[in-house]
Amino acid sequence: MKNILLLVLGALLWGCATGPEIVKGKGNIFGQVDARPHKEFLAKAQSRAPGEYMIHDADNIIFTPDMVNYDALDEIYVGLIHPDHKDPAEHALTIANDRPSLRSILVGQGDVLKVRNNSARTLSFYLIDSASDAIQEYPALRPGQTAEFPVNLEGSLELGADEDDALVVNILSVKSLVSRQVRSGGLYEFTGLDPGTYDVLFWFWRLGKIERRVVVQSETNYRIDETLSVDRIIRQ
Amino acid sequence: MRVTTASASLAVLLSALAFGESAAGTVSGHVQVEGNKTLSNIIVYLESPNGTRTGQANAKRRVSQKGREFAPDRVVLVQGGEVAFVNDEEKEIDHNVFSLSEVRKFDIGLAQRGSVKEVTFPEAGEVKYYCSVHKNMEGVVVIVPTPYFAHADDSGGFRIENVPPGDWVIKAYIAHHRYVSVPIPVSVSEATLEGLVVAVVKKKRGK
Repeated sequence: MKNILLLVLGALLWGCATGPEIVKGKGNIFGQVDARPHKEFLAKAQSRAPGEYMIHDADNIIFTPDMVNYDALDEIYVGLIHPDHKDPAEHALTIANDRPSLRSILVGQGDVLKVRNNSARTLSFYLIDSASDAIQEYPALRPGQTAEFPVNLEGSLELGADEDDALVVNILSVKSLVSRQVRSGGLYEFTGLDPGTYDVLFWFWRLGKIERRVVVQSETNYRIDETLSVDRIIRQ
Repeated sequence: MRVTTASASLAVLLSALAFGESAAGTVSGHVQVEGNKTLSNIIVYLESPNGTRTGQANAKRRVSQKGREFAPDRVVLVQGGEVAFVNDEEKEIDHNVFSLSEVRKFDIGLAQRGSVKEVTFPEAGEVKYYCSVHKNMEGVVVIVPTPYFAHADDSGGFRIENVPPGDWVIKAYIAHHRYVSVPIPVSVSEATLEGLVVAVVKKKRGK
């Protein structure tokens, strides 16, 4: 009896590890995404050389409040790109005390930013692609107002406000993309996918992006784990 | 010694003749922002009409990282110039300066206390950079195409000296990305060009 219970438990755990439930004729993409410090920083920390960090007994780095805590980053995004994705999604953003609730949002081109102005002053928002100077202007938002701003531009954009050059939200807008916001070390999944070719995009605004291509076949789970770090993205 | 002095004088003369720099000019004026809005961090610069790089890169700029801060956190550099990122921390604090900018991507690796890491900037534009170790360390390098630039003062005034005679285009870098300057073609001679008005306007939609 005990062995049977262990077998059942093992089967359940295996099911969790191997991915979401399969639907007939569909496939799934899932995985884990995390961020880590530069590999040279890790090597130094693991050699227990002097530094401002501390090393836990289990070789885990304990970051000071001034440091980027890679274990606690909560603005990591995973996006799935496929030409058939058409339904626009909504992304909430609040401005309070002239500061945004998020520093970055990964959106599909055509998605909507639902912006609430909890600042004490009216803010006139715009979306700009600094590389091309393409711009979208939105109606001014009075204190306490909420509005929906469609994202028509594509590329690395900035959502800014006329009234404050320090109020900037990094927007990465990609055609035919659905996105998930994930904590570092968190899991993501895209389920019920028709067979075909998909690109999976992993992004943290300060560390850049990595793309992976997956050919999905029916009734198959695909696990794509990724790690974002400076040394993985920038290679001189 | 006499031969050396004569040679040096001849070299200066030939150089002046070759580059027509016998009498450099001065360009001055003020920046006028649409709606009389006050903007900070405006750099007025001259560009050659055909957009080619002109003049020597200026001296290397130094950016301190003491106290987990980039200082200055905004530097202006002439295209082709170099920034030295100095880890002058008093304690054992490491930094990793990097940029994902399309103008200049770089990763200087882990920089320990006492290290100096130099980065060249061959293209004009704006480069935002960060430290991957510390969350509040952010900086900007503004790269202008010629050594002929000036920061607009609080009232918008600017003055650019030692400008070689010839045709130039006046432009401005504006930190607030909502705004852009209207280019002004000018012809510089040995005389001073005064009272120029550089218009800074909101970028318009439709592109």
